Amino acid sequence: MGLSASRQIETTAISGHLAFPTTAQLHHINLPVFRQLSTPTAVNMTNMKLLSSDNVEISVEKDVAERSVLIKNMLEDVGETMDAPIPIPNVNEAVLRKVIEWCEHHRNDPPPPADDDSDSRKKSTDIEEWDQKFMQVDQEMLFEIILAANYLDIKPLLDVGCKTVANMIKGKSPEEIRKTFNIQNDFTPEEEDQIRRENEWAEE
Amino acid sequence: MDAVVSMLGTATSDAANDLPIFSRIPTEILLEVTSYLEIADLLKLTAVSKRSYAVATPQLYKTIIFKPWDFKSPHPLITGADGDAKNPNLRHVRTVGIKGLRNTDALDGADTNVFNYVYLSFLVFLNLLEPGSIVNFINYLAEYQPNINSIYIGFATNTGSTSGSRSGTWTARPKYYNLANRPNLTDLTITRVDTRERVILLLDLVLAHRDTLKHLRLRSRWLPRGARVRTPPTLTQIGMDYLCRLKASMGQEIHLTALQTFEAWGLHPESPGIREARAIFTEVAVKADRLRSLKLRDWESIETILWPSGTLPPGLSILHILVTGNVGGCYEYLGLNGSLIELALVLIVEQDTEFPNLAGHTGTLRRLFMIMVNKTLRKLPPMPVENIKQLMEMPFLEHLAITLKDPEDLRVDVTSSSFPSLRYFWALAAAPPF
Repeated sequence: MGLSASRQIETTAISGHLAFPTTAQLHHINLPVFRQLSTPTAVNMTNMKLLSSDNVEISVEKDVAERSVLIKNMLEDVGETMDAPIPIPNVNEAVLRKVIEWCEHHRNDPPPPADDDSDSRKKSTDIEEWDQKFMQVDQEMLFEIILAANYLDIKPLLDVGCKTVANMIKGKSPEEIRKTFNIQNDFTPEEEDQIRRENEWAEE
Repeated sequence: MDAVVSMLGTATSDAANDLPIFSRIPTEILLEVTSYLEIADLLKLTAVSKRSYAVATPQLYKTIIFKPWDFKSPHPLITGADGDAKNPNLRHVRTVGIKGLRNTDALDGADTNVFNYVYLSFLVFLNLLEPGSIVNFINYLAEYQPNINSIYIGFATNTGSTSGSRSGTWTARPKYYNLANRPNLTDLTITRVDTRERVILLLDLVLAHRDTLKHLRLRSRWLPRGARVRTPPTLTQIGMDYLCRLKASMGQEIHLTALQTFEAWGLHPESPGIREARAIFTEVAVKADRLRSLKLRDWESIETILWPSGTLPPGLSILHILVTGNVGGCYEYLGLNGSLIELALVLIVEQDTEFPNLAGHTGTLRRLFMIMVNKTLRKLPPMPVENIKQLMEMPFLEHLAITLKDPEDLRVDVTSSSFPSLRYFWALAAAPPF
């Protein structure tokens, strides 16, 4: 196993150049070999049940459910083992199963780093490959996932959702954005002209 | 259970579900979406609908960087939609910057020329806000824009030497000081600290805001090794003298109590400004208690500042550093239990040396970029298997960049639990000399 795995490592020579690879560069060198080897570390296998808004019970491992800060805090506050299903009144079965799927895949992720408020305009919209595929759903489901992530307080999932929406906006004209999201243009021609002049400074 | 239901809130109504999807997304989420967009896309979003206008506008105006040539004709941001009216969206501005200020004359009176150039450029802008001078602009910022707490001063390359020619005129505070001097300044970036005036500007701003400044960045152009650099010989002394005078007048040590980030890059060891930046770090920033991120690229001899302190800054999570010569102090330093999440380490050695033991950071390390350069043999020694094994067991390691032998010769027993979190791997070939 050892040598065969190591042979799959792509080697990149950078002669005489000591610059650190940037995150963008590193994203091009994604080695799935290591991810395939990944196994869950010690986890809490206690099961619990969630009750979707359409009254479907879904069994889920406790540590997976606790990716939701809302559920985690609630369990800590209640301070007891709950046999009865926990109602999630804002999330239907289909969306809840998607959210659980995401939580299961990311169950071993380390906690996200503290927010850095120093350079908010430079936020990257890079999304890792698995999450990209996960987000390849119809628009209704995408927004439901975002709403659920917000409601359940799952910040990393919310971030992925927001990045996906941002990527859907990027490079589009106002009319294309309207079509994409089924938005009605509620500006009068005068208002449109006013906005155009107001923001003229930002045009190239 | 009732309590639980109460905690979780109630379902949305069917009527709400009939609305278009975009309308149902809470504003705070749309604001988060806009934080991922650049100006061009934000601009288009403002033209989509009234709601998208309301959401995108604050982000569009959040950061405004002027360039001198912006003011050669009336700037549309200031003229606004009604000709002379102030653009109401200026209330959203949180960060302003001036980029590309250029010394047009480095001889006597250079600072006056520069100031006049900026003054005249801004005058168009200022007259449209309120009649007056640049002082009015500063007052305007102070009075109407108290939330601006991030300043970027982008000096252009200094075209001449002003160092030393005016020694002793300590009271001649640089003109830009008032522009950047804000009571709540938390974020300061200055490029090319390569004249006496810029040294003093930097020191004045840093020291005046030592209780609020969280992020300090010094940037310069990157100079390749061997490039000929004109180093003003007296800048170091100016900076150090100035610091000493300040410390003496204050009668105490200087502490940056809020500093979290100190970054200096593109600074060649011999480039102008490096000594001043280093002097500041030596005298001031190393005593910061809250330091979280330290990025010092192309910066030699920093070990003499860090290692004697003996302990890692308690909250330090990001460290970028280049170490030359004796790596012992560095290894001892890194061997301590710490909280490093990201480590970018370049080791310049005379002969092949063992790699550092990072076991103390096993529980936190996510990104590791480590390269050793044998200066004598002009090669990159590969990381030994023992060190690779240590990295294989790090539970959170996601990004890794190291030097490897030819993979054909590498013998590492990778198991199902190796590299449990690794997602990106950057391997540098160790064998060929460069």
